[in-house]
Amino acid sequence: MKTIAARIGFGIAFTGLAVFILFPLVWILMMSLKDYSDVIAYPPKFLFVPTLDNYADVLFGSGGGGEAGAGEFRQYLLNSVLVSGGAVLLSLAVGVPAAFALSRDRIRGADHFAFTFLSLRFAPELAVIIPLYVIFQQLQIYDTYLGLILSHQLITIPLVIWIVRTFLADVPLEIEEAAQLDGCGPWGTLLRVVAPVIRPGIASAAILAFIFSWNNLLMGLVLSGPNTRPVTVGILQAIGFDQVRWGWMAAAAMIAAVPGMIIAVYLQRHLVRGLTMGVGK
Amino acid sequence: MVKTRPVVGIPPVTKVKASSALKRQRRSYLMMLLPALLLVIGIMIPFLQGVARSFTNEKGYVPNPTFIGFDNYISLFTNSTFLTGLGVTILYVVLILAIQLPLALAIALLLEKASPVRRIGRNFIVLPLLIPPIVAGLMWKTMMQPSAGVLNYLMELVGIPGSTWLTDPATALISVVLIDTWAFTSFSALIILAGLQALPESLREAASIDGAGWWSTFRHIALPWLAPYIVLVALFRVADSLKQFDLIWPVTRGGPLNSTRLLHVQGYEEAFRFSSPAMAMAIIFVLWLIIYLSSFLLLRLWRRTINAVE
Amino acid sequence: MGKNITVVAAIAVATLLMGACSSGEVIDPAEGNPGADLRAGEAYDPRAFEGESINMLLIEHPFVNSLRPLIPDFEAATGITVNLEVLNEQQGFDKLQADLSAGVGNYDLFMTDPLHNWQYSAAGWIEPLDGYVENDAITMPDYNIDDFAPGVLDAGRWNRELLTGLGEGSLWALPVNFESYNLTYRPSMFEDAGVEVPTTYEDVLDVTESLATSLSGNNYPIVTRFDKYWDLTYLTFGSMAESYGVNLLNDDGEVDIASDASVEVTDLFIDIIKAGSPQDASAFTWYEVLQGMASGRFALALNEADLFAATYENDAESEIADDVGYALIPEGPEKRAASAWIWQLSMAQASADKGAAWTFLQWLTSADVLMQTHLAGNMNPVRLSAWEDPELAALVDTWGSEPGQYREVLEGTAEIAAINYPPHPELTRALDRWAEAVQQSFFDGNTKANLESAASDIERILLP
Repeated sequence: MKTIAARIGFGIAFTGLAVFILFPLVWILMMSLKDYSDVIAYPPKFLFVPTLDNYADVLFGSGGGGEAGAGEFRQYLLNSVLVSGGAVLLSLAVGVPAAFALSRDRIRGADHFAFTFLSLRFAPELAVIIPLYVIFQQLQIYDTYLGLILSHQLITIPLVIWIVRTFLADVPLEIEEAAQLDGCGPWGTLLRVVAPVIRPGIASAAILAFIFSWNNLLMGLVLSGPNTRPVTVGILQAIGFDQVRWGWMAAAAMIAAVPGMIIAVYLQRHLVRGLTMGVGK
Repeated sequence: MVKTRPVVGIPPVTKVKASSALKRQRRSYLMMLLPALLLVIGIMIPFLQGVARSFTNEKGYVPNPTFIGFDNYISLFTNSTFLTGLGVTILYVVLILAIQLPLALAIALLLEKASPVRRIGRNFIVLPLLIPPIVAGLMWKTMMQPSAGVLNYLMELVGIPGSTWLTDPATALISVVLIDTWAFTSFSALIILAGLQALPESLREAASIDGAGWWSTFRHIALPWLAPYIVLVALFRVADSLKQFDLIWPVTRGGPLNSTRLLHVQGYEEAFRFSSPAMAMAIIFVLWLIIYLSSFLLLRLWRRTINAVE
Repeated sequence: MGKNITVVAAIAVATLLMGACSSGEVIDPAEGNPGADLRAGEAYDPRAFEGESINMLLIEHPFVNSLRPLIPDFEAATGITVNLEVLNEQQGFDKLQADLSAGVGNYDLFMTDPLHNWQYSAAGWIEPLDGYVENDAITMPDYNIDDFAPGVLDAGRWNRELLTGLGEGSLWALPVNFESYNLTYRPSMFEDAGVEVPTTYEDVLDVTESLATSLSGNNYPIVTRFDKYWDLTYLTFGSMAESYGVNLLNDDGEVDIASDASVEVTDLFIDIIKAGSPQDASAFTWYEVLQGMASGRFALALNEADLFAATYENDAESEIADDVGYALIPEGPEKRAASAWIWQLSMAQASADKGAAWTFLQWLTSADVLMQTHLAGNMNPVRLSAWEDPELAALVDTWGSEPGQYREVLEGTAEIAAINYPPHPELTRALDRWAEAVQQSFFDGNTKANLESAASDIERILLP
């Protein structure tokens, strides 16, 4: 009796969870496949003739993102890939050595440094963006990939340092000692011996940092211009003069979620591992 | 390497011996740290400049800003819009914690055991994390339209009266919390789930030998074990909700009235709608202090829970 | 035709003469006469700035669509490259403000309006244009600035004295279109309900109540924007308040939005919305109005932009092209009043290519080019000569439930359309605050208290 009740309870809870998580996604997917009259129809339509027009419009359309030019959204996608990808690479380049230096108490006050890095993750973006806007203008790196990659370090560096440091703590000490006996200095130890061991850790740090960077709206809203506008800002262009282009927005949203989805499918294990930020393994 | 090891407070591995080799090593470590440090300093200097600006009367149409001490801060704390925003921000965080922590824990417990169905569940709860918050926000806003949205349509179909959702000050904040819950509870649930899966089997077995029921096992074994994970989740949710912007700005712009005008949104408006960077930085600095203080306290709590588990 | 000219000319002039209510503080008067010495003494040459490139920020609007196809002609004729960036209204104004305040001139030219320009010109972010207009070396010979409707053109002038001096001093912008506010209604729905088009705001309430009983399903009697931003108090509700004699500032320069008349008009406005709008009406912006009206769900659009007609009358974008009529904005106890909104173009003070930017600006606002944009949907015309164009007249004459109806309403509106607020760089903030009080009263009913509290906040903003 008890197990049947438990099973029913589980069934209800699981279904509830599935509906809550999936319904909005399914609904927006359906919306992306509707033509305009189906989108604004009331009562809402669950059955309709699907069309790929919205996707074509987003990717190739001349009237796509508002009055944006042909294929402008593809440029936004490319911009996002370059900015988030660049930001993650830079963070790895400076963050992995830093995490190494900060692990195992190699440096006095390592915990303080580590906390300082993490606290950036909690800083309101505007605290940095408002002053950076003026400085970027003066340095002429406003609306450049470089400027955006630098500003996205606020998001990516803390994640990289903290997650990588977690994994470093688990590297067997013997490996490092063996490397030192072989005559490796700190850099040699890190690059030749330790880094290959913590590859999963680096992967999960990179994934999480990429997703958070990709998802960010505020940085792009202020610090990007027509040359570097990311997808998150591009989607806002669905709001036009005479209508909100719901179908266009839905299709753009679906496309914007693709990189994340791909990552999720291939690298989910690492994703979850990185999320725990070193509380446990 | 089975034992869980906290990052914070790892004991030194090698005893310090003063040798020139060691000094060289030290220098290498500093060199490793330096680039990251420089980047961070590069980000922090503008922030400090910004804070300095908050003590001036800089405004679009004031040609030569002058130092005015704490006037901006005084006017903030005598200004109903700011105080409302402060209240709304705190209420937002409280609602987020009250709803999302228990929910995340429940989801983690629901999906914890190994079974095919649960594995599917573990896969799909990752999805909201991969959707940019602005997309999640616009998506829900569409569904929440009171007279044309699908949510009210479905609710009325099964006899529940529709809601005003985002269009009434009485329901707007809770509606945004609902969207936030959709977008970020997965994050929390995944962390707690990882904690549950790291719970040593020996502890569980010991409990079942003692004949403890599910509740008692949960209460006395799982919950203390999970404490650091839950505090970590709280740390992230508190900091991220205090500075929430991406979800709110495209969805309500802070309205109706000031019902969803969190401080981060207010700061944006001061800076970019009203050309008052000084006032904007004052708001953001206050917000930063609140976040810093609360994350500092939660981090301390986190270390304590980790030590307790050890 | 002759009548039209005088009529359009009258726009805004009424209020341009107001002012004198506050002495205000003078800030940083324009120095010199920029543009006057550019290529001094030479003859006008469209290719004088060949090879330069300019950036222009545009706000999404039919004007933009009408402009796009014309750009290649300009580029071919002048050798100047024009890069357009188009953003929606909310994002565009934020971006523009950030750019102007940084003083780097990413945008040489941009779309703007008097309300925003009071902020920009007070800050010294934009270029006075008088020197350019008067300089024959850089302005085409037949430009003829006197062809602009004087009221519309003068809305771009301000002497930068706070709360006064509109229409005086430097010219900060050139207009490209203007809109005012009217009633747009569905003749068939009115007929079914057996009601006439309202002529006073009391009538509007009555008609709304009658329509409410006759309409069924998902159709509603009335739609109007009702978000808590300055456009409510500056434009739509603002028109209604003005006709009840309610002003932001009274003759003594005191904030006067908590008067009995103000409470009365606010309550009536709220009653109308409650009687005939969906429950989420408080979140309606003009997007919802335009979309809702075009989809055929509403019987009456109250005090909404007359240029929406271009969308309503377009079969491809509207369900109501065969069933829409226009009427003059209702009359209040004091008078009939309608606000005016003017889209303008300005040049950034920090622009690095002012010669090229001006070449484009004067080309774009010349009679021929503006005419082409009007025919492609950029309404309403701001040059007097446009109204004499038979092609445009023929187009507009078909609008409405009977021939000439739209035109007739527009002429009536033009006689009263005006900018009803004193210039001040923080006026958007003040109007936001007023709108908030109106909306708050919708939710809690404490109209008097809400208006009083808004009045005291606005006093702090405008009269420190």
